Amino acid sequence: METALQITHLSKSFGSKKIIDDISLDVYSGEVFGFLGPNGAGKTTTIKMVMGFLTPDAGSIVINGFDREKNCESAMGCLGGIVENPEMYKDLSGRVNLEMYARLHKDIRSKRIDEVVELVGMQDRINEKVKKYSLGMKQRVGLAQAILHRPKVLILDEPTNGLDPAGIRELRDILKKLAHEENVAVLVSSHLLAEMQMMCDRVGIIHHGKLVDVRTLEELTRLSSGSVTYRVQTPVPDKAAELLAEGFEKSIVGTQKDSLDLEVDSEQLQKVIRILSSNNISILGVNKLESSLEDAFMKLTGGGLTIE
Amino acid sequence: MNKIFALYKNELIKISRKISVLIILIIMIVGVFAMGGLFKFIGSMSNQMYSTIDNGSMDEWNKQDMQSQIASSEGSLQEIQTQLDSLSDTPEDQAQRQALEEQKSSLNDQIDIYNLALKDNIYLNSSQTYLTMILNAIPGIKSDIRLLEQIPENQRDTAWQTTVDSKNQQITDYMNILDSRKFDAYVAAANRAIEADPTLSASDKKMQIENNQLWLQLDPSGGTENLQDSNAVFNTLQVVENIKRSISDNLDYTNVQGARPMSPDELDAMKNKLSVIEYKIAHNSLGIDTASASRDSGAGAIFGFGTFMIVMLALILAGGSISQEMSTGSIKSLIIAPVKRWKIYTAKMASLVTVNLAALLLLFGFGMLSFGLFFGFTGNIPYVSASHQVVTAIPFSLYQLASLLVKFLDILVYMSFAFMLSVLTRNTAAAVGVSIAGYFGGNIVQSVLAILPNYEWLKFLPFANMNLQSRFFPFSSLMQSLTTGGYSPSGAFVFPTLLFSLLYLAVLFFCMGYTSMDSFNRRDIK
Repeated sequence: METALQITHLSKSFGSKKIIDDISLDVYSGEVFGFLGPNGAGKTTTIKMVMGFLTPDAGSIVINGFDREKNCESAMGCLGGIVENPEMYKDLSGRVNLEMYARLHKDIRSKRIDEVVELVGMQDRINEKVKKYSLGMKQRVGLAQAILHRPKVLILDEPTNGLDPAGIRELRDILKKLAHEENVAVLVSSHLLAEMQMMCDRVGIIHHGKLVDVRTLEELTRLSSGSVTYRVQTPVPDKAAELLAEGFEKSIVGTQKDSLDLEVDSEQLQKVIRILSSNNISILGVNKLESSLEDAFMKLTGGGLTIE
Repeated sequence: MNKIFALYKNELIKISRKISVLIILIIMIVGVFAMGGLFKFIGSMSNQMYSTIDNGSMDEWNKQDMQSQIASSEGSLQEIQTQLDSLSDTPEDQAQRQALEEQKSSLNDQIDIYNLALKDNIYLNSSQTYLTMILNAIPGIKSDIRLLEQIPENQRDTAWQTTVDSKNQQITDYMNILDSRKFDAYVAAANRAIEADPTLSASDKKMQIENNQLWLQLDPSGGTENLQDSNAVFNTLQVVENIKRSISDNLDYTNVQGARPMSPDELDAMKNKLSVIEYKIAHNSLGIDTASASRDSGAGAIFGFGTFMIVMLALILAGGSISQEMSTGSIKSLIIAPVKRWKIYTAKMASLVTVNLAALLLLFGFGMLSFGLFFGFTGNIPYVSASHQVVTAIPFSLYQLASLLVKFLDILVYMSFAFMLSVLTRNTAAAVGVSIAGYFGGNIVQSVLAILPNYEWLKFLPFANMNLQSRFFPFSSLMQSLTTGGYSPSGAFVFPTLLFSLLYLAVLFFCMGYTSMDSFNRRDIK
C-alpha cells in the first residue's frame, strides 16, 4: 500500500501546554482513515499542521512524497480539505469562490468546476452569494472546493457538521467512492464513533494529544461482534437464567431482581428470545447496554467520547 | 510568479465586490463636484463683495472725515499764527520764526491737498492708488522747493536750476494727471523724477523705475479698481523688490527677522524664484488676481477632498486586508491553497497599490472635469519652476496629476503602516483606527514642525519626511507668498533634502513591509 500522508514525531505546544505529543501516523492511498477523539484531543490541531495553518514544533509531514516544509507548494498541491467550518468569501457566489480557488492550482478547467458542483449537488444554487447558503450548503461547496484539484490526500475536519441525514449518507458515498475508486487517501476527523464505523477503513484514536490506538474496521467489527451486552427485562430472571444455562451459561453476565444481562451477538439474542418465549417466560423489554468496544474506547480515552 | 498573479487577480475580485470601496468612491466623486461648486460660489461672493468697494473715491463718511481733518489742520494753523505773532525780533526768535513759517507753509500745502482731494473725489486714507500717491507726494515736493529757494542766489548753480525745474515740472505733471487720470502718464512722470533725483544711486534708480513699470504692467488701473487685486499687486511689487535687493546685496531681505546673509544655495533659490516670477510676468500668468486665487483654492479643495477620501480608502482596505480575512475565516481558503504565504502577502500589497492608484486616477479625471465645469477648461495657469535659473513650465493638468502621484508616496507609507497593524494586531478596528489617527496626528505634527527650532534629530521623524508635495513643487505656494508679502521665518526647522526624504520613506516602507510579511509568514493561524 502506498503511503499518501506520512506524519512523523509531530509535536506542538501552545505556550507551555503540549497540545500534540509525538504523533506518528501513515495514511494510505485508497483508504478512508478516521481520526477519532473527544473534543480538545488534538484532532483539529494535527489537521491544521498538515494543512499549513500551524507550524509544528517538531516532526515532519510528508504529503505524496513532498515534504510539507521543504516543498510547500508541491505538497499543498496534492492536498485538499476543510478545516472546522468551510469559510468562503460571503459577498461572492459559490462559483466565483471556486473559480478563485481553481486559479491557484494548475490547469483546472471550468468543466471540472461544473463536475464537482454536480457531484456535491449544488448545481442549482452555485451562482448565489455564499452568505445566502445554509451551513450544509457551505459544507457541500467546501467539499467541492476540497476535491476540485483532484487531491491525492483529502482531509475533512468534522465534515458531517450541519448536514442532514441524507447529506451525511451522500457524503459517505462520495468519500468512499473517492477513496476506493479514485485511490485518494481520505482523512476524516470526528468525535462520533458511530459515524466512523460507517465510513472508515481504519480508525486512529487520539486523546490528550497522543495517538493511543490505530485499528482497521475489521478489527473494530471483530471487537464489536459478540461483545454487546443486552439487558432482558423479565419478572422471573432466575427462571430465565435456569432455562438459558444450557448453551448460554457463559453469556450470562449478571442477574438483577427484574432483569438479566447477557453478552451475546444479535443472532444469539434471537435464539435467547425464542427459547424464553417458547417456555412462556414473559419478556417486558430488551435494552442494548454499552458495547464493550465503546467500553474499551472509554478506557483508552478516559471518557469523553460521544455515543450516538 | 504565476501564482502571485493569480492571487493578485483574486484580491482584485474581492476588493471590487466590497461595498465600502464603492461607497468611498461615490463620496469622493460627489464631493469633488460639491467642492468645485462650493468654491466657485465662495469665489464669486468674495469678488462681488470687493467689487462694490469703490477704491479711491469717497462716500459721505469719508468726506466728513476729510473735512474734520481740514478743520483740525486749520486749528493747528491758527495756533502757529498766534505763536508767530508773539515772537519778537531777537535772533533766537528769528530762528524759531523761520521754523514756524516752514510748518505753516507745510500745513497750508496739506490743506490745499485735502481740498484738492475733496474736489477731485479722492479718498486719501484708502489703500494706495497712484492718485493718493500724487496727493501725498505734492506737499513734500513743495517743501523741497521752498528749501531750495532758501539757498542764497549767489550760491545757485545750473544743477540747482535743473533740480528746481524738475521739481516744478513734477508738480505740473502731477496736477495734469489729477485731471487726465492717466496712470501711464503718472508712471512716466514718476520715472522722470527718479531719473532727475541726484540722491539716488544708479542701481536704485533702475530698481525703482522697473518697479513702477511692473506696477503699470500688473495693474493698469493704478490701484483704483479692485481693492483686493491692487493690494495683491502692491505686495507682489514689494516681494519682487525685496528679492532683487537680496540678490544684488547677497543679503536675504525676505526674512521676518530682518536681513541676513545667504548661503550659495539660498542665493540660487532666490535667483530661481526671481526667474520664475519674471517668466510668469512675461507670460501674463502671475495669477495673483482674485479670480486666479479663487481658481487656485477651488483646485486645492477639489483635489484635497479627493485625496482625503483616497487616504480613507487606502487605510480602510489595508487595515482590514489580513485581519478581516482572519475574523471571517476566509483566510482558510488562502492557507490551504498551494501558495507560500509571502506570495499571499505580496499579492495583497500589490492589489492595494493598484486599487488606490486606480482611485487616484479616477480622482484626477473627475477632479479635472469638476474643475473644468466650474472654473473653465482653458486658461489654466501652468506650474512654473526653475533650476539654476532655467525655467520649466508644466501644464496645469499635468501638474495636478504629478502632485497627486507625489501625494501617493505618503499614502503608500500610511497604507503600509495600516497593513502592518492589520497583520500584527489581527484586529481591523485597531488597525484602521490607529492608522487614521496616525494620519491626522502626522499632519498636525508636520504643521508644528515648521515652527520648531532647527534640531537635527527632528529630521529623523517620519513626519518631517512626508507631505513631499511642497518640496517636489517648491513654487506651488508662490502665489500666496506674493500676495501676502512673502516673508519667511528664519532659524525655524529646515526640512531635509528631497533625496534624504525619499530614501527615508523607502527605508520606512521596506521596514514596515518586512515586519508585517515576516509576522504573517511565521505566525500560527488558529
